[in-house]
Formats: sequence, C-alpha cells, structure tokens
Amino acid sequence: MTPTPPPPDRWHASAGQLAAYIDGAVPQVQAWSLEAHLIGCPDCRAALSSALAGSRAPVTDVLREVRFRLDVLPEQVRAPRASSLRSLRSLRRIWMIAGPRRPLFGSWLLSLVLVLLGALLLDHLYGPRFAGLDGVAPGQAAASWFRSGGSWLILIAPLLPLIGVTIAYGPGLDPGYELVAATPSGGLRLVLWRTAGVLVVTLPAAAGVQLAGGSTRVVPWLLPGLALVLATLALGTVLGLARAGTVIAGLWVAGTSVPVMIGLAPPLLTVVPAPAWLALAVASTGLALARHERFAQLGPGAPATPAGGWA
Amino acid sequence: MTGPESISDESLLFRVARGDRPAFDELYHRHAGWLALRLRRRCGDDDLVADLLQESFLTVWRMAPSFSAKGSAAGWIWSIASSRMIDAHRRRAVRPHTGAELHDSAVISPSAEDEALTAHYGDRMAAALQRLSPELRAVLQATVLDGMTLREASVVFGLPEGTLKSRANRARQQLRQELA
Repeated sequence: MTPTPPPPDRWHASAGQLAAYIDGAVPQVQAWSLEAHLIGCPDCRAALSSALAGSRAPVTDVLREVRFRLDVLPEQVRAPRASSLRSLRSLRRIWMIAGPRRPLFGSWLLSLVLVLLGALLLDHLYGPRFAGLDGVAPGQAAASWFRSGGSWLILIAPLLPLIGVTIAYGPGLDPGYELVAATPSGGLRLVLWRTAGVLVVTLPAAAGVQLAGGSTRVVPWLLPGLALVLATLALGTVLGLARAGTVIAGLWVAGTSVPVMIGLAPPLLTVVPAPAWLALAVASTGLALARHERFAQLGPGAPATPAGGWA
Repeated sequence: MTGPESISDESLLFRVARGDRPAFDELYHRHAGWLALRLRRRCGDDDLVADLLQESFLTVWRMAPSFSAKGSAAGWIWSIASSRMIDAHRRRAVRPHTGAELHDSAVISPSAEDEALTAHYGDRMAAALQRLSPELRAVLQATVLDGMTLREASVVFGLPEGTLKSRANRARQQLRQELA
C-alpha cells in the first residue's frame, strides 16, 4: 500500500466505513480518524445521518426518544428573544439583573428620599444647636464643626449607598437569588452591577439634595461613602452582605453621629484623613476580589444569610 | 427566505438564536446522529447517551445567541456535549466505558475500509497508536481528540490529574520514539 493521503478536502469516508462506525465495529484508531474528520466535514455528516436513518442500530432509538423529548420540552426553556439589536438585548439583560426588580426597591427609594429630606430639615431647623449642650466644651467642638460647613446630611449621606448595597443581593431579600447565583453572571459580577446601580441612584440624589440645600461640601463624604460600600462588599465575603452592612453602618454611626450628639466633632470626618479612606477602599477591593467566589455560593453558607440561617 | 434544508450550519444556528423552531429541528436532524454515536462510544449506557443528547441540544437552543460566527457549528456542539458529559460524570460518578476498554478486547483484523482509512491517517501513526496501551490511548483520546483539559479528563476517568499527565507524557514519548 502506498501511503499517499489525498488532500483532506477531497477525502471522504466510504459508506462501508460509516456503516461499520454505526455498528461500533471500527477499531479505536480508525474511529478517532473518522470522528476527527466528521467534525470538519458536513458531507460525511450528512452521509452518516442518512446511513443512520436507514439502519436498525440501537442508537436510532435514542435519537427518536430524544427528538420526542425535545418536542415537548423547549417551551419550558427560556427561548432566545428575537431582537436584531444585540446591544439593546444586552442592555436589557443588564437592566433585568442589575435594575430595580427586587421587592424592596420601592420602599428603599422612598426611604432614601425621606432620609435625605429629613437630614436637610434637621440641618435647617436645628443644625449645631441639636449637637451637644451650649457652653460645654465638647459641645463647642461639634458646634464649630457645624460652623465650618458640617451638616447632618454629611453624617447621613454615606449610609444611603451602604444600605442600598446591603439589601441588593442575597438569599433573604432577592426571590430570584438562587437562580441568579447559579448563572455565569452571578456572584461578584452581579454584586458589582447592583452596587453600581445603587451608587448611580444614591450619589446624585444625596449630592443633589445637598446642593439644593445650599451647601457645596459634597466632597467630604463621597470618599468615605465609597470606602464604606467597598468595605461592606469585602466584609460581606466573610459575614454575608446583610451582616457586613449592619456592622459597617454601626461603626459609621458610632464614629460620626454619636460623637456629634454628645457634642464632639465627628472623628471619622475630622481626624481620619482622606488617604486613610482611600487605603480602606483599595484594601477592601483587594479582599473582595480575592474572596469573590463566596458571592456565588448557595445555601446556608451563602453571603447574605446569617451564620445561623433564617430557616 | 430559503428553507432550512439548504443553508449552512452556522446560519442555522443564527436562526436558532432568534427562536426559529424549524431551524432547530433541522440542526437536530443534521447533528444528533454523529453526536449520539460519538457519545455512545464514550459512555456505553444508552439512557445516559439519551440524557446527554437532550441536555446538549437544550443547551444549543438556549446558548445559540452566544455562538460566535468564527467557530464551526459542529465543533461548538461537540464542546457543549463534551462538557455535559463531564458534568454527568461529576454528578453521577459514573465510570465511563472508554472506547479503549470496549474495543481493545475485540480488535478485529482490519477490513479494506480500515486499510483505506489507515492510509489516510498515516500508516505508521496508526500502527504506533495501535501499540499504545489502552490506558495511554484513552488519555490521548480525551485530551487530543475530544479537546478536554487534563482536569476534565480526570473527572471522566476518575483518576488524579497527575496520573493522567504522566500517562499523556508517556504516550507522547512513545509515539515520538516510534515515529522517529
């Protein structure tokens, strides 16, 4: 035999080879060769299909059975949507998973507005007077902080994105959580999308209310606010988002509003320098990325369920 | 609009991506046969083959929008079926009847067709492959022909990755020596 193989585009499997392959009578190495060829040759695949149709090989039962099952099933599977604009479809998908479809969204939005207006009102009605006792030294510290541009809004604004992120993802609050966590876009990617969604709503809202209230000091709380959100995500990989959010919010209140109420300047806004907030944000990002697979977990270990579980 | 019978696999997939049921039926008609046979050589159980075939085509139906025009439809479908097979092994911890075990015991003297195929494949290569032990050949089949990673193959065979890696190396060395 002279081994001069014909060029691959003109070689085709013979009817005998295909019949032997259908019967499982082709030795291993020849089967490899045939399978490798079939992947790239539509003609031989067609020949194989028609050879199969005329044969009584057991595999034809499998083919009929599966064909029948697929007749019944596909309606239950989410069929691909007809849409000529791919970008529009992906925008819609982003909206579906990152957008406001969660039951708490409406009440969250309402409370966002109420809290902002409440803080504004607090500033206008009381301002520094609410903080501490007049004449007492610590009270002076809080009062001078208010005079130099401090406001209740600054103390409260960073909490808003934080709370939004806390309720945005997890088995307790999102009815579709298990479904969503199992998809390729679940886990960290989805958490980040929803976080972005929360920030897009809260930051302009808080800044807008503040500007409308006559204050231009938006910058002081933006960085802490961002760092708090990132720290929540990072801690969320350990405690779950709901607990992490509670802890971080508690720390923020303890470091700002509580001192102001007893007449001190809020140390988190006056003592802690901006680079420290930046460092917290960077470190949190690193931790969240390193432990991101925790966001895709289901069941009792899933991020937003307290360790004991709610069930 | 032309009927689904006359268009390429890739165009069929684009129609399937738009939810075109006749295109899906045509795709099944064209691809279920070779796919079922190929799966059957790798897992002897017909029930499992039926499940894998069903899952694969459901995945094709759902994932068709993500098919890229650059690839071949058949290769894409096989990669889906192959990963379904790996999942099935992972889920059910079913030990596969690899082709090697099935056919090595019943090696038949080559027929005329086999001879012709052998000529195409390269006489010496085929002979060298034939002389490999079934274990080594099974690893080559999974990694070279079926395009699995060593990690995926280790799930299918139920063997540690390191074992498969050294088998693949030995197979490659042996082939190199024989073909040198």
